[in-house]
Amino acid sequence: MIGAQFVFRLYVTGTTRASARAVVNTRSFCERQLPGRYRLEVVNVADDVDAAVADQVVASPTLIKLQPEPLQRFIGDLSDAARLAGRLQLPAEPALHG
Amino acid sequence: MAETAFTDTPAPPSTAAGFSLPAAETLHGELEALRAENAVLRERAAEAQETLAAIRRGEVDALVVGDDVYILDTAHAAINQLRKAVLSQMQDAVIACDRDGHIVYLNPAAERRYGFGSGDALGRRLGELFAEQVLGVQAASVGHTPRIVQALHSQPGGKHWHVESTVSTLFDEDGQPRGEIAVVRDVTERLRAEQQLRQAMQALARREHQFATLVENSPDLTARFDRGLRHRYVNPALEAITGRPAADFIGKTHAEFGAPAESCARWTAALAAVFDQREPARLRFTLRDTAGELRHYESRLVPEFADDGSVESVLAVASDETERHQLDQARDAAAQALRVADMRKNEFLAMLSHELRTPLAPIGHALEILRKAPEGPRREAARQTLDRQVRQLVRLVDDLLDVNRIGQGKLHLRRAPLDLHAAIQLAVETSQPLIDAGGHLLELQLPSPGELTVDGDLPRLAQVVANVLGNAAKYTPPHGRIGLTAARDGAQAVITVVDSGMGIAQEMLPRIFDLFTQADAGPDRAQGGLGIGLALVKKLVDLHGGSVNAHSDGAGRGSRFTLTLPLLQGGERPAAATQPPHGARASTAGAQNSAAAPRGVMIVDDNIDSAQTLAELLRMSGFHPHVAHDGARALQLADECRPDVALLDIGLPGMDGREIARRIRTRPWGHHALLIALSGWGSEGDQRQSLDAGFDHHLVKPVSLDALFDLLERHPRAGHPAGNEPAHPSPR
Repeated sequence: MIGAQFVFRLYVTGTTRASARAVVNTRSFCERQLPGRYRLEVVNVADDVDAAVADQVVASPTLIKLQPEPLQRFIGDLSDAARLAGRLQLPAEPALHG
Repeated sequence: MAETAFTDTPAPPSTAAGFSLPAAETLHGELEALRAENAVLRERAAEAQETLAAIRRGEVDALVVGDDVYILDTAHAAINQLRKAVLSQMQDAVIACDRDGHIVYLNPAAERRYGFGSGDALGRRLGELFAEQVLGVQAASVGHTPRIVQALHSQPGGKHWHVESTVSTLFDEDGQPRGEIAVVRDVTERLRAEQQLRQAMQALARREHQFATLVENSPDLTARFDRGLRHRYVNPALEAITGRPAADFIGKTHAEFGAPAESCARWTAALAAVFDQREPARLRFTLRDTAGELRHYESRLVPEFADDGSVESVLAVASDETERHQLDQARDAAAQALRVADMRKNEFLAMLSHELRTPLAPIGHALEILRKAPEGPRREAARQTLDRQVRQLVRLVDDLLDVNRIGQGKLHLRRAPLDLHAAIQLAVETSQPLIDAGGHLLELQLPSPGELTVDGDLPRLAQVVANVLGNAAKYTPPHGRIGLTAARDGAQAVITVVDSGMGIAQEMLPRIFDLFTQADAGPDRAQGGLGIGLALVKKLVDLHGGSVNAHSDGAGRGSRFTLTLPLLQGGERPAAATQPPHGARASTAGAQNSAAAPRGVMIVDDNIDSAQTLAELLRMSGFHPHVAHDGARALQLADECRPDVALLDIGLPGMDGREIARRIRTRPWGHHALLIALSGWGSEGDQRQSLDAGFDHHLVKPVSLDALFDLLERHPRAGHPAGNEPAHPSPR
């Protein structure tokens, strides 16, 4: 994944339901839309509050697109893949349920 | 809180640009900047909207306010924190999945073990990362009981390890299953240890089995005893030898099992010593087997140690030493018997030398007297001395020959119905000189002649009684009393000889009829004797189907010998009257019967003295002897004088006695001649060869003159019809 064009950081809260869903949905979306060209970093807000503050995270789960610019934030369990694709300007895809 | 989130959102950096009056380009630039700012603001607004919407949808589980994280699921926050701490500390890998099998959690141990970080693994399906169904996590499975799955994990590097996954279902707060969590423990070491343990156990089991096979099939007796000295194990050999099942032994001590008291004491002492001293020991013991035979065992007692070093049990392994024991005993007995026999033989030889030498002095003296005093009463006295001493020597030699016959089992009887009275008379006659010499008084209580008839050998029975009388005379101090009674007791004749002599010590009684047994040396030794007499008595009485025993009240209190002989039933008359005893003097016997004896006798012997003296004796008894010293001359002489009787030495120069006998038998006159072999050789084979050569009898030198005259007298004179000739008696 070195040299990926997309770099995401996902802030979660342990294995709570919403966080677990966010993790799974993000992975699923990336593998569909960006296979082989993304890097995903999962950060537990409880473990690293400083990073969360620096990234201006206000809620968990939050997915941050660090690369390419501009930086984008997506809040929630990321179950609406179509909307996510739209905001990331990626090809549309059918909505996934969480 | 949503407001708070917005409030905290920092202003876009571009807002730092001032509001100055712009030029056209400047305006355009400002416009672009404003557009960008607007876009950022829109984005922010969208984010804010999204945040609020997400919160409303319940998709947000924590808010970050300042430096604090507020976890919205407050009820579980503390517990989750604790769980997190525990999970991150665990050495076991922990992997959680949602219901579709996506990985939603990895603890640090899992990251270390599988070599990928959370970012690489989270959200992926298990199958993407693990080729094996190793976690045992199945999306559809729901259960409250954790299940345990074992598997082999391998890594691209080729490393393998065994894992054991404990898989539990995760539940929502509303009770719905939402995934599974697996705690994966590396059990490689444990399995290896278990494997080694299993192999060790199997090896142990094999050894135990081999040991059991050995013990179960061994002829050795094996038993194990616990600290209470109770049987814990007995092998089949012990069951077989005792005829008791193992159940009779197990849990019991020797005493409880019913072993003899002496055996119990020995086992208890031996086993206790092994428990106490922790050293192997040995114990010899005996057991009666199911056939009732006493068997001898030698056992090794071996301590068996517990883990703490104490003696847990004692194993006893016993081998059957019965055969060896018997051999040892037989060998010891044989050695003892040999020692005794050797001692007796030495005593006998010493006695024999003495006995043989004793008559020589008076003989020498008597001969000297004869030389110096050719006439008168002294000559007669000397002659009687010679006669007595020679008779004593002959008796000694006869006894020795009898002993030899006993030793070879060749003592045979010539039995005929006989009057015991005659035998006793004969014995008294023989013993009289000895009784007289001791000055003893002999009291006889005999039945009238013909009352007691037995089937016996007259000279032998006379010898029996004479020996007992002689024994009494010898072992009774001078002027003692000797009583002899004979009476009927049912179907038996009982002869009792009682004396007032020195008696017999108790310890001597059992051996008194053994060969060469004599009363201890002392003054009585002067009485002489070879310790043969009573042994002959016993043997001869046995041969007659009777019995003899000795009784004494002790030393100095006299002794009593009792002879028992079976009486002849029915009316057979003894023939004793027609058979003169050969206990009588030879010269007398010859003289008395000379009229009936054959006259022509040929003597062939290369020992000229022997031939001449025998010829002289025969001539004095009324025979007509002819003498030859070699085979050729013998045959010539025989044809000339045609003797009724031929006495032939066997070992002759030129032609031996047997050849002469064969040739005489070919002559018409020789068919009925009496042929008697005189030989130094007396084995059964020698006798057989003589009879085969045509001899009627085979006599062993020194020939008893009594026996010779007896044969001569019993031979019908030449010219009697052959049919009247009695059957040849078997040679003695």
